[in-house]
Amino acid sequence: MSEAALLLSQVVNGLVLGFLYVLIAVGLSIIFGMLGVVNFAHGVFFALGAYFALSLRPQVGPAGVFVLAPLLVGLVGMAVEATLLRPLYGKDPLLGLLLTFGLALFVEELIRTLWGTVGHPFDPPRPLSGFLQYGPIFVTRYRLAVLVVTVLLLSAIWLFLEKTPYGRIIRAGSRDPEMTSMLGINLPRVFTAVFGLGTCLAGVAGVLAAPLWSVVPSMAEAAIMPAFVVVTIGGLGSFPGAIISGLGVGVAVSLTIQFWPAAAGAVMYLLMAVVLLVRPRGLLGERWEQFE
Amino acid sequence: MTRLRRALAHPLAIVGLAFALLPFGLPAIGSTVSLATEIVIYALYGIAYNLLLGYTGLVSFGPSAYFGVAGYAAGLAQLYLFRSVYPSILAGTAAAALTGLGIGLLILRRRGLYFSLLTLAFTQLFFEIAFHWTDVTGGENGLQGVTRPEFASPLGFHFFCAAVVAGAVAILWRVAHSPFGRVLQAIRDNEQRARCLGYDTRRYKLLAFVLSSTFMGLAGSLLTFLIQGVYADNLSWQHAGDPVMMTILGGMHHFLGPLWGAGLFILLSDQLSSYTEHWWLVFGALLIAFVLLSPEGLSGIWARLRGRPRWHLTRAEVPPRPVGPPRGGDRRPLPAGDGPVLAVRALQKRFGSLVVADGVDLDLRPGELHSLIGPNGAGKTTFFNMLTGLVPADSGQILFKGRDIVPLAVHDRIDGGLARSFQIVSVFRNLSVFENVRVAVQARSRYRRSPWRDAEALGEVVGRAWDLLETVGLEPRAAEEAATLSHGEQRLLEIAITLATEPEVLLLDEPLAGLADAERERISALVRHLAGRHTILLIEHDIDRVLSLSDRITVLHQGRVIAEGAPADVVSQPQVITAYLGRHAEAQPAGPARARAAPAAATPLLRLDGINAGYGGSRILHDVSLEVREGEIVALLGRNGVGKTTTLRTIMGALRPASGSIAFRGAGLARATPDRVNRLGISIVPEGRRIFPNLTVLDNLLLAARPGGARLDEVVELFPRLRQLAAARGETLSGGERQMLAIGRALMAPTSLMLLDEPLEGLAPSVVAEVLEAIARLRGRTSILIVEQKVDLTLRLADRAYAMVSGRVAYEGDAEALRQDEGLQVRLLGV
Repeated sequence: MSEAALLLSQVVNGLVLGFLYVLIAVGLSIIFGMLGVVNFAHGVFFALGAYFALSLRPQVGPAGVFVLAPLLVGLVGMAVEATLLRPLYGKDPLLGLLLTFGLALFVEELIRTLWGTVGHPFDPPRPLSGFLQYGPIFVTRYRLAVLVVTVLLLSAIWLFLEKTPYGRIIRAGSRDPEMTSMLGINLPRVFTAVFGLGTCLAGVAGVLAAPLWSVVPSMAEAAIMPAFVVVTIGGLGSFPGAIISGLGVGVAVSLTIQFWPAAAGAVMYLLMAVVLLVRPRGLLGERWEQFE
Repeated sequence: MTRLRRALAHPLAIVGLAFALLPFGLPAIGSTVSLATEIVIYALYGIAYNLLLGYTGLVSFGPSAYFGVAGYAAGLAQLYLFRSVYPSILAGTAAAALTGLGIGLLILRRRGLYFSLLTLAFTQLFFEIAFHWTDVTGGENGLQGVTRPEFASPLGFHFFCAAVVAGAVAILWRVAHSPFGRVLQAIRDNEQRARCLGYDTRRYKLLAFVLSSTFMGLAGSLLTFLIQGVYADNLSWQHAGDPVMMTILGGMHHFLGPLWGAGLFILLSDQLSSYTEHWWLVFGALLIAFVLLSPEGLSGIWARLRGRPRWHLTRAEVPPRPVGPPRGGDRRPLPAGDGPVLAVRALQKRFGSLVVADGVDLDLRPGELHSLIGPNGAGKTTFFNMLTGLVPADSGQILFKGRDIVPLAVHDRIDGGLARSFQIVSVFRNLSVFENVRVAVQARSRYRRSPWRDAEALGEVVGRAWDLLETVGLEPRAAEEAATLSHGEQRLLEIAITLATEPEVLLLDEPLAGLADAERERISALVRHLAGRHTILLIEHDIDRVLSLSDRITVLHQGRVIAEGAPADVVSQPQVITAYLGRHAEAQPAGPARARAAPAAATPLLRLDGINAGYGGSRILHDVSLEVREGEIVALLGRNGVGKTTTLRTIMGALRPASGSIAFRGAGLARATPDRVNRLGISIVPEGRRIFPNLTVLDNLLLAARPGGARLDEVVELFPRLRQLAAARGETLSGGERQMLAIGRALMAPTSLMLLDEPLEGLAPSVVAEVLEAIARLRGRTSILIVEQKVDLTLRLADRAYAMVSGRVAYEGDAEALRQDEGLQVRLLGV
């Protein structure tokens, strides 16, 4: 393959990776914005999505797990919020952070206990295996499917946030929770639902990523760190920011993997450090007191 | 015997004892000496990390960067440069110090979450470098073959580590008690206040960051020689959490907390790992349990068991008052000459379209007590913020003792002799009362940056602190935590802190706000006492006291000075009365005519009975009783700070009353949450409107919409301008447009009672008319309780009126009757 073709193919791979990052980051960002919680456990919800899919696939098939696994993850998320996070609202934000950190450690070890430490391969659904070629660009069918699905999902999320009543509540509640409650909206219930939504998105990303990354306990870290980077570069609380930075990071990482593999892991942190130092609130971040 | 007990309770004694016993105790339970050494090393790691977390309040996610860098540097030094252990350890520590300096310089200007995320980025960056730069770091396999020729036996090495770490801990204990260390805690509790005392907080934070990295590096270097190798693993993000976990488990607000955390963590993981490889389940669960049940960790549990639930970051006792004559003499003398000590010329400031200062001139003469008064929103606090430098002025001059201080930073202005107290009490909550004042006095000492001296041995500083405590009358409370003081006592503390900076000019921002009568008297007496020896500029709303205390008064209204002079002269000037009572010369004298048919015996809709409420330690509402009947418009009037907004918030459920009852349609409301109150039919249009800036006008309205409420076209009929603004984002709206939106929004849900909090504030006269007319049209649709400062207009609209004074209802009666009685109005509401 020529250099140019290789480059282009990697860019496409980078976009796929990028959209996955965006999916994970959006869930994290919604949770930040609404609950004010830095969800260190977001990565393990991602992993749970993949593991639930792994276990349920023999029963319900690939289409079934795509719906069922994220729902289960969302339910787990809601249970966690209602029991563990709710007592901490109004207290030092450091406590919420520590709790999700502890949760991340616990759940990752739980995964190891229940499913073992060895990685499990996860084949893409039969109709989606194999390559496609568009001109000089090679891409796997599955990756293309992931691209399409994540774009659709992100559009759906955007529509949800911008056009539906519930999305309205989330956007308003992120800016002024007290005023929102004075308009008759039961905030604790909204918080639980939002946490469920955010973790559900992580779960979806986990199911989608399972064939790409193979199902390993350490996939939790492979998700949480890029999520932090993407959210920070894009700007805390900004949906378009998350998309731009997610795609940017995805492409950057993919290209680095191809041309300078040793630095692939480091490049996103370099990007993050540089962006934050130059634009302290990220590319499109807004000035919210809760973050400063 | 007690002296021996106290000596043994000293942290260093505990450390020494623990370190000495560990290598014998552990093998007895099946562990090794090396594990004991690991505990020693991680104890240092945690204590050094806690210098940032517990002391300075900086949440770093990246301690492992310095731990790891030092480990590699020490290992590399031993393998290639020195064979000996000692210089290698020094090399590692130095590497960590330099790394800390570099990163600190880069990231310390960011705050809060952004700072924390940056620390994470750097840690991960270092991990990746360590993992992949195989030539230097050995990559995945790490560096192996590091030897420690001087210490062949584990026991020997243990005692070496114990000695080094004990020494390091002793240094850190000393640093914690130094002037520098004390300031760190002040920064943690209230960085802005520390800056306003004259401390350059960035330098303190940087030094803390470097010190912390250095000692964490020392720990990392020692670890290299313990395991005789270096691995990238320690830099991974999960291990970055090790010192955090140990610190939290052990207790982040206790000096030795990390030691207990390290012991718990390492011992437990060692013991558990022989039973199961899934011991992280235990630790994850343990961390969660601690966060929920005992955030202060093991030390917190221990302290609570002993009945003394206080932090123990520094020694608990307060130094005694030194004997000798009072040190009032080092106060600065009043400047000679009769030029103004502070002169403001043509000060301008606007926030967007809101003008808060419009060519303000003010002269402050030496030794006078000058008051700055004016209706709400006049720009007084912003004026103070500009004087001290917290907010930059757009243009104009501020001449302090003849020099223009506009280009000076906050701490430089403080150094020059300008000090202010804050409207919202701004003390250091977790420090003792004594320490609050002492650290303020210390800002003027030439030893204020020393990381080595004992801060409490600075006799001058300690003596002056006691003198100030005596001046404000807080001596008996000196050893208590500032957070436990009553609101009035915190005010006194606030003033003591302000006095500590030896100001020539004292800016006091509403020192009486939120206080009961007795406390007001106490503080007024203090201000009177201070007046002779300092020049004071005072913002207050308690007009009676202002009149009796002040030499001269300046009246500010909508950013402009409208009167200045002796109290008696100013008070009688017509434009002042007008400004306070809200009468505009150009306003429409005929406001919306009251549809006279207010049913006299209508059923009560809302009833407050004997409500007492406040925030924190302060009591704002005293036995407030009022009533709104079906179909009425009721006005709630009063000067600033009397509790009008507090009353509305209490009705709305945003504030829980301490006693009393609220009934709506007969049903009790006292414990309802705001959303429930709204669903019962009470809507609020709050102070500042609080529309959602990130939502469009349409979304703002739809958010509140519920079946039974107004329809969109009804709201648009009331406020036609909203139609063309439907797609505009809230943040682009003008004040008047926001007000209309806020009222419209409140109507979208079924509303029987609408609470309006100063709906006319900050609006141009034409807009005022528009809004008033809309409110008048709401009659019949909903009952209304309206809080306002524009007395005349409001009384034309309302059926009945209440007037509050100092948190109590002082008048209740017919609105028109009050409107006709100008004398009564002036007594209740005016100057």
